Amino acid sequence: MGDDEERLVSGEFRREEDGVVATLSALEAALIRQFVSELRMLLEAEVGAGSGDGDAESGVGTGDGAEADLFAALSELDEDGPVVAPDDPVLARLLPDAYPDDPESAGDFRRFTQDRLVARKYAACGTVLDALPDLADGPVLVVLDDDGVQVWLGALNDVRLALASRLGVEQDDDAYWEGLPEDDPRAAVHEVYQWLGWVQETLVRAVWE
Amino acid sequence: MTGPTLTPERVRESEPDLVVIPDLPWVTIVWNDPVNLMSYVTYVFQTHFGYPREKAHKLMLDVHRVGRAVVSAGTREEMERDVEAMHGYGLWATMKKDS
Repeated sequence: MGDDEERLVSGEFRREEDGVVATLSALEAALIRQFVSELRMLLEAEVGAGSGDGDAESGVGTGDGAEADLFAALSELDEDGPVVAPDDPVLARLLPDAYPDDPESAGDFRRFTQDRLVARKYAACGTVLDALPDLADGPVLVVLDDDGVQVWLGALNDVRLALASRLGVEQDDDAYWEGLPEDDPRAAVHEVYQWLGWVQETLVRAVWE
Repeated sequence: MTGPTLTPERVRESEPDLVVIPDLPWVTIVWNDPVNLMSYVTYVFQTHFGYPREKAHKLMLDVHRVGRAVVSAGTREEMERDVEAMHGYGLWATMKKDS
């Protein structure tokens, strides 16, 4: 850690006078945008999964107005959340059972907490996206205050959990990924996954500086 | 030689638990997973529980090496709040009645 060459790598967060700061290349900003957007879409689809009637209020729109719709939908939902784990393995990992041996308590916990958790994760994705221009033609400066750091850490972590779930990442399997042929599409995704881990690591280190 | 000394030690070790359990009947457990960074898990324990860095680091190592660790104890309602917070951070947490 901390030698000068490593510090010049793009994407690293550092603590500076005005906050925790990183300069992302246009490509890096686009990569984060892409994967955070995909996670946000997945979360959006999960909102109101537990409300049985399928009334119009719980439907979430798409596009820029989605956020307002989402929170309107959530306020309607109250304590009417889903009681079973989501089918999608990514969502199941992001929203695990609180009581592994007690389905009834696990269902109650989910009913009261899941919509709130989804809303928080969804909002975190939005905060990250707001900091990154849609089509950057040059380096992107990201400046985070303490709250921003916490939101970014959570969102990057959720994106990494999502990618790892889709890829099937397991403990100590680096050799497997390094051995993939270059033209295997999973190799590129795994590279992004690892890079996001490195970005997240620099963010934690910046908090501790 | 080991036999006779083992028994009294066990009795002594179990005594404090007998006092503590009735007050803190539920526990939050965080499980190891291949994705979460060791530094991030430490950060979460510091940030959410307010544990000093050293304690947070030790708990993280327990999760990493043993596969899970009890990270907090309290009432059922308190543990549900902790589990929800851990899920918010992306950690894999469960809760159970301590036994």
